[in-house]
Amino acid sequence: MQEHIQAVLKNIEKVMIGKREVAELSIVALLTGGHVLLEDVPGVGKTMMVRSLAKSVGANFKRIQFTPDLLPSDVVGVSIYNPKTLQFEFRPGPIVGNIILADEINRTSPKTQAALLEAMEEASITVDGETLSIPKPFFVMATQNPIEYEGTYPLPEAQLDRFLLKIRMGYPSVQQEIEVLRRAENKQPIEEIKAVMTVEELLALQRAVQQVYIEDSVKGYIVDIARATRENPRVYLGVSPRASVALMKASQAYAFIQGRDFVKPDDIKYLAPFVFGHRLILTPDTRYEGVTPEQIISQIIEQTYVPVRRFTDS
Amino acid sequence: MKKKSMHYIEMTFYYIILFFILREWLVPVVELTSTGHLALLLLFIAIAFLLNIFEAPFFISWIIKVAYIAWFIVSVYTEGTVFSGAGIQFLLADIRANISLLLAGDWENVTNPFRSLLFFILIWMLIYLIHHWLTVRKTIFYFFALTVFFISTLDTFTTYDGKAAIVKVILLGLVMTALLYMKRLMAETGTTFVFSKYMRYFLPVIVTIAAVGFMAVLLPKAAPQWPDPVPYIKNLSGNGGQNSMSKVGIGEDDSRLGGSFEADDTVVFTVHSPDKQYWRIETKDFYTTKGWESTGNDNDEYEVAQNEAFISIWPNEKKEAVSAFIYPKIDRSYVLQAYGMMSVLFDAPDAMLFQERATERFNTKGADGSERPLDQYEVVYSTPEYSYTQLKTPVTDSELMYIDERYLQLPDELPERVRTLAADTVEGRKTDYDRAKAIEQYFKRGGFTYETKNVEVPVENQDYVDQFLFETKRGYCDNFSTSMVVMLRSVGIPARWVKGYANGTEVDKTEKGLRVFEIENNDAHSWVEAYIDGIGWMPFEPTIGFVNQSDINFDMELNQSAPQEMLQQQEQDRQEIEREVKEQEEKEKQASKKKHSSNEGSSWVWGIIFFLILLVIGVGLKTRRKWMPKVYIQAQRRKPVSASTIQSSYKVLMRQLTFVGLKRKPDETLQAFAGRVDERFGTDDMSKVTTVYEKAIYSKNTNNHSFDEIKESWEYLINRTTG
Repeated sequence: MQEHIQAVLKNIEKVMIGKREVAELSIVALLTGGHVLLEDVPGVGKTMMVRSLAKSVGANFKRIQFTPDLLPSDVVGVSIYNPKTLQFEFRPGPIVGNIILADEINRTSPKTQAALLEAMEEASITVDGETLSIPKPFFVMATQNPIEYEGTYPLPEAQLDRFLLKIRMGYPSVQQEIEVLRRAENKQPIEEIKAVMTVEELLALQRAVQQVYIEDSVKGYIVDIARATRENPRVYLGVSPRASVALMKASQAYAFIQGRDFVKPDDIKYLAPFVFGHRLILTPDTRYEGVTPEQIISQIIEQTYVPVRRFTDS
Repeated sequence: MKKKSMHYIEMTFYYIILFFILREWLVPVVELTSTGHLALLLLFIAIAFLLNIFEAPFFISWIIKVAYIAWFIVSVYTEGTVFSGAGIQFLLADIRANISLLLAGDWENVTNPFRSLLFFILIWMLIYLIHHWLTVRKTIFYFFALTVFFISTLDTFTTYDGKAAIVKVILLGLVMTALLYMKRLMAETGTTFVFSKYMRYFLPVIVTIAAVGFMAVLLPKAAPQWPDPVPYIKNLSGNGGQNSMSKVGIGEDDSRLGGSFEADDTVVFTVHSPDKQYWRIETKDFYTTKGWESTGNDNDEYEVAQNEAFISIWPNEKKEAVSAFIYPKIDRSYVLQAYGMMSVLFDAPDAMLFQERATERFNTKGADGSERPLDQYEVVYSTPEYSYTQLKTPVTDSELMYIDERYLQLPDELPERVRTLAADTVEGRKTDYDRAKAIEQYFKRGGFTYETKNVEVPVENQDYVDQFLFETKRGYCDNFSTSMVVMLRSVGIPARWVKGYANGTEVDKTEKGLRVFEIENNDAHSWVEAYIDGIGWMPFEPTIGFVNQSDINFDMELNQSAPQEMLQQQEQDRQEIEREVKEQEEKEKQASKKKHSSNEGSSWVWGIIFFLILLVIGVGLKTRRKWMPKVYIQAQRRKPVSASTIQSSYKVLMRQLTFVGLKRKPDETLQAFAGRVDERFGTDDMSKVTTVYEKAIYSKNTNNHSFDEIKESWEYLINRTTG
């Protein structure tokens, strides 16, 4: 099963240059059944990333461009009166799909955001009292542009919790950017990408990830970090136990990608900023100082002991 | 093949030199501790060196050495044959007994076989270190320096003369240092051994060392820059090399007092007596500035009948006469005298009792005039009692009694300051008793310490008393008692020096209610008798830590006319006496088993040996990162492979890595740490090992990982930590 993942990564690398880390993290979310919030400026390849991932999996890909005037029904779908049958018929919106790119979600109204986030959380939509579950795999990759504040509706913290990971793309290096240009001269490589994994295989992988062993001492490590965020004086609100669960699941997936059947503290250490970063609320003072939650998490990790022996109850 | 034999020859050569250096360790130790069996000890070293030269396997060499030690101890300390059951039993019992002694902190009583065992272990450790220094470090500088230090220390602090030894050691050590330096150079430059070439370097070295040695022997030596580091040394040199360490006990010659003495807990007498008391043997009257002699002729003695054996101390107010029974455990021809002794009774028709006039010593002799020790005898006595009123009343001239001038003898050379001190001490005291008491008390309050070790002996023009009173202020009974006699005489109180035994240790009670005392050689004692005008001889005890109160009848309240302040004084004195007696009893209780002194000379040597053991252990610890990895690797090869092997091996590796400054930070994951280690060493071995270890601790199945796959990496890393 490993080879599927490696193939997907290879595919993405064909399109994206030097974005293996982001690709891996995206796959972590995909394997865990979680969603990703990509935060970065336009033009660094967010869309390309999601598309190449969707194409590699051979899944149904949909894209929703969020605008201020987008309505919840534009996301979840609408019931239309069919004069022939004299009945309302439900036309599912773009949210009903396997891999969804939700572009610039902070530009739309909170009402629409809530519709999206609810669908993400429940993996189902409710229209006119009818609930329709969204077929699996269901993977939302939302992007948001951090520099535009004018006319945006920042997502409330409670809703950020719906995302398993928050990832930044970052600019490519000089070498990488030259390579980007070189490729842009020719045909778009995205067109050449072929599916290397079926949806069924993906679901199987998702089940396999749940079997990855996580030793109790390593679980303890997660808890230690989570508790430390709650006790940190610069943090207004620490992470919830749900976040701890999220980190554990993400670490299982990450270990799986690395070809291991057990989780190491290294996995936790690596993933903690991505999983916890957007779930922390810093105190206003701290925010004013320009300190990011990721920095606080790094500090916390530096002060947390890594478990180096098996957990014993006694 | 040729190379191999060449190697053996080379090592043999080195070890021969080292053997001779190590020999210089054993010679003084054997000499000073009178251990004996130097040849057998040297044989042990030779065997150990041979095993090293031929690189005998670990277990063989251990078996041989242990067997040799066992054989040595059994054959030297027991009659038994070497590996009989009795021999082994003896060994085991001895080890067990001594370990419990060591655990109890009772180091002094460790038996000789066990000391030998410890000594062998020390030699063994030294040999191991030498081997390490020779083969791994290729320098024996530590050993060389240690040897020089050892010999010079012994030379300075003990009677051992290290002059020849130090010359030998320096020469051999320099040769060895040069040889090893050449060996290191050759190893560094990768030069192969060519005999002629080698000699071209070696000969100048030998010539230089010989020249240096020759010059050094010829050159004039400065006098010691360190005149008397310890009074003990002075004491040795003062006696011109004669060992002044005396055994405690009663000797005949007291003309040169001072010096340390050895404890001797041999029981000399068992006494059944109703009272706890001092036992007098004789008195001496002539102070020589160094000690005591008797003015009278020893042979001036007369026979006394058993029932009239009086001594010059008589009871003032007769108390009821009581008997003490004395059972000498060792033949002694003198008789123990109780204060107020009236007669000595014994049942031995062939024995006669003589008393020396000058010393009041009683001897028992046979019909032919030879010594005739008694098996037992009875001493009838009535303890003298002194009237407080009388003691406190100044005597008028008419009451003065005649007393022999010899009890006021003082040497002309007696320094004036002794007289001045005595005069100052008794200033304002009205009666002889008060004066004597003041002097007695002076010793308890004058900043003196009781000490049996390293007590100085007066040199040429020094007065024994003056030295004690003004310079050392430390000493034992002889110092205190002699000083008090001299002080008493200098203020005109007749006094004499008494030899005898202190109370002894109360061990039992007889059926008749007598108290049983065991008197050891350690109880040998000396004290003071002063002649109090109008009363007679009265004993005093100036020595710190000893109490022998005369019975004083506090009879003053009967005397209505006594002034109030004198009554108060009496009360004070009475309390004082009670307090002293109580304190003494306390002390005896606490230290009923404490010895007078310890075996002085050999404790020095044992001290040095102990220090060296510590040093060896210290060096071992200090260099452990050099040699422990090899031990680990050896141990690892023996162990069966399991998950716990991996864990323990990894732990060992982590610990070793700390020695080279690689320590995992608490927040560092193992893999991150491994990356750091690998970067440092330029390998990927640590990551390999860590990956396996991680599997062992984090994964579900812990037992299916084999150590073999990382064994090489592990050994490589362990070895890197030694570099």
